[in-house]
Amino acid sequence: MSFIELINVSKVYVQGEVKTVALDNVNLKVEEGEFVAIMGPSGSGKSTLMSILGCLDTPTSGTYLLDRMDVNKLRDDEISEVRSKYIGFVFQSFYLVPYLSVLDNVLLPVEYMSRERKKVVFGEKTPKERAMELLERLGISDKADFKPSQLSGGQKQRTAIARALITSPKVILADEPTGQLDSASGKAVMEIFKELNKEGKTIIVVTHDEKVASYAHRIVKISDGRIVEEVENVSR
Amino acid sequence: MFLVKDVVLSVLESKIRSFFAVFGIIFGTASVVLIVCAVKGSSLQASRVIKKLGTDAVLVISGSIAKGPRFALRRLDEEDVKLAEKIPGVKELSYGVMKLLQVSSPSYSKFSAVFGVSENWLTSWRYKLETGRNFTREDFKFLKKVAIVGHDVSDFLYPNENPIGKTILIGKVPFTIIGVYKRKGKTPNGHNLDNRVFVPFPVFDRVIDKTFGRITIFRFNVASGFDYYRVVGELKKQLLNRHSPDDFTIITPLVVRKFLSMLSASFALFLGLASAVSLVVGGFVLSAIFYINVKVRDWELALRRALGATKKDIVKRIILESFVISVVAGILGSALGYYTAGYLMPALNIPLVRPKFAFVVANIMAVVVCVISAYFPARRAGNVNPVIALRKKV
Repeated sequence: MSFIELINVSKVYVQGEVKTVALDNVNLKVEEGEFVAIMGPSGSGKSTLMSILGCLDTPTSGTYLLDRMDVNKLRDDEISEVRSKYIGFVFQSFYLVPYLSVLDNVLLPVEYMSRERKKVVFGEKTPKERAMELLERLGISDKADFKPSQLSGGQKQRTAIARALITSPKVILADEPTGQLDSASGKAVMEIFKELNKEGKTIIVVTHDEKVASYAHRIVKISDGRIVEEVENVSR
Repeated sequence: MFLVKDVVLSVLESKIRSFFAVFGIIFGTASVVLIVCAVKGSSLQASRVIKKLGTDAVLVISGSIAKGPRFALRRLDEEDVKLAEKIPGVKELSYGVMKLLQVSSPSYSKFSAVFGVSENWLTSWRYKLETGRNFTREDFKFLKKVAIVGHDVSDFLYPNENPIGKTILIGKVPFTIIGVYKRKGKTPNGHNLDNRVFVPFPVFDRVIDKTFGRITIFRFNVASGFDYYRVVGELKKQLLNRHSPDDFTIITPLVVRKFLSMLSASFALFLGLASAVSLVVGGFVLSAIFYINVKVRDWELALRRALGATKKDIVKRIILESFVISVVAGILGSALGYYTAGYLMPALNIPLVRPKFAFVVANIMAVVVCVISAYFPARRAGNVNPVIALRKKV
């Protein structure tokens, strides 16, 4: 059994009389430690797929198994716990909270971690120590007390990555992580993902950028809510 | 700790919104403080007045209660006093007549309330002599032109001198000061009790102002063992035989308490309405502002959901934000109430008291209103769909 498994997953949005099929019988497996890119034009359903993978949304029909749990059958608070434990999000527009410092933004997910989980993740360390280590590793520890508005795009995305990593999730879900970055910082961000993947993190990137996709082991192409092609990336 | 910092910072982030949210609550809190101060103050005043008057005292003043009893009126007369004296249970009866007159020494002069009084006036009204002596039977028998004055009279006319034995002119008639009474302060209506001159009633009648036996006021105490209400009832019956109801007002401690509590009740009602309105309006404003707040920040709340927050976490957070606002508003409102009370209560002739529980009650109300107002926006915030909210802001 795979770490992530989507079985016949469909998502239909109903607005008045108009039905929009965002996902149509999608089957997808992702193994632990894989690096997968989901590609497709806008409106192809890749964001919906991403939301379902991130447990932010539930499918209209079909089954989503994450680490053998049937996510659709969990209560809201249990799903929140699953998100906290398994998934780190990285968004295109960073979503840093403007009134919190870089360090506090990184510490934000700690507020929502269960006590047991904190023990597992932090051990003897304080969350702040771990946050500083992550910032150090991502090369922005000198910006810890800055407000997000004082950072460059690349620095913002590094902050967001540090925030995604603080809970030590198994999966990083990145939605167009380089969409608002220049090519140099975009490349740097992708190198970070590559490195994280080597350390064992499962990484799923949603993108329409070939360059970004080229970092992945496997590229899943999606169009009109259907997976149209799955290719092993041999070029990397 | 992080949560508190996080919440406080987010409240500070939208300063203008928070400011408006705080505003209505501040006024509501302040008026709750004022109400409690006013009600407490009036009841304190009632007890003070009654204590001053004596719990078994009965006052009869010229003029109707509707138009307000007046010292300038002389609707009662010596015949009433004689009748009252015959009622069993009446003791320490004293009477007087008043006129506002110019009082002067060789160097100074001022207007004072000059009273022509019965011999036992000072004792029955509980004036205490500081220097000199009280009236004697001889003063009345031989129509001596003697006066007992208050400090504001003696200190003004004879500053830094012993006033006893000195002569003052009341109008144009010379009197000798035989006593000065201890300071009494002000009446509840604000009349200065220390700017008074007392002279024997017959002398007043003879040389100051012809009274034709008419008087302004009389008072007595009900002797112990007699039914207070029966005595008052009998007095009323007798007075009504000779006068129209408009001619006199009988004042008893019960009347005083009723009157003052009526005042404080209407005041409490007015302020109560004001504070209820401002709290409710403040609550609505707060609620509306929180709706806006939640709407504007839905991406942030959605982000928190994505980072592992449950719906409950989000609801808790919004309520916590409103709690922070309510505490700030409560403190500011209490301060406003505290200082306003300092100006308002003296202006309304209510003794200034600031009972602690006024602030406790006001702050509890502020918190309750804030939390209730924030509840529905908070519920909506909890139901924010993270997918939609996170897709919006790019």
